Amino acid sequence: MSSEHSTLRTYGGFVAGIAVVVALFFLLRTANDSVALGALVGGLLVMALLAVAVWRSRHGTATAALARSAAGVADERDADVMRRTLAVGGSTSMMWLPGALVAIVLGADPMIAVTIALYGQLATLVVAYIVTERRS
Amino acid sequence: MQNDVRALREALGLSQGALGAALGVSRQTIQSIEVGKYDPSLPLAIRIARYFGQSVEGIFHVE
Repeated sequence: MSSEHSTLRTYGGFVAGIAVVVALFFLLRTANDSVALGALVGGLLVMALLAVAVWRSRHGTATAALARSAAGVADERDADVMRRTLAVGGSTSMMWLPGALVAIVLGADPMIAVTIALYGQLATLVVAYIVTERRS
Repeated sequence: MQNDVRALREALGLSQGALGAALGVSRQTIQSIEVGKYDPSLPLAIRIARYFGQSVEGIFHVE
C-alpha cells in the first residue's frame, strides 16, 4: 500500500469516526442526555488519543503496536499483537454479553448490567493488549 | 527459537532502529526478534538472512 493511500485511509477513518460519534450523540440525546454526553466526550477523547498516536507514528516516535496500527504503518509483529488482542476480546465478549443478559433476567438494572459488560469488555481488551505487547 | 541477529547487527555497527528501517519493520520488532520473544514470518526471516548475506538456518536456530 502506498503512503498516500495509507494517509488517505487514515484521514477517512478519522472523519468517519467523528461522524459516528456525533451521530451517536444526537441519537442518544433523544433518550438520555447524560448517556449522550458521555458517549460524545468518550468518543472524542478516543479520537484525540488516536490522533496523537497517528502523529507519533508518522514522526517515528511511536513505540506501541496500537499506535502504528492506528496510523496504518503496522509491521507484521504489530499486526500479530493486534490480531491476538482482538481474538481475546472477541472470545471474552461471549462471556460479558451473556453475563449481562443473565443479570438482567435475574432482575438487575439493564443500564447497569450493560454498562458493566461494556467496561468489562474494554478492560479485557486493554489487559489483553498490554500482556500481548509485552510477551511478543 | 534462538538467533544471531543481535550479534550480526552489532558486528555491522547498526542500531536496532537502523536495521528495522532497512528491513521495513519497527525497532520494537527487531528487539523482540533478538530476545526471542517474536519469531519472524518466513518472508521477514528471508529478508534478514539476505541482508546479512547468510542463509535463514545460518541465523535462526531451533532450540
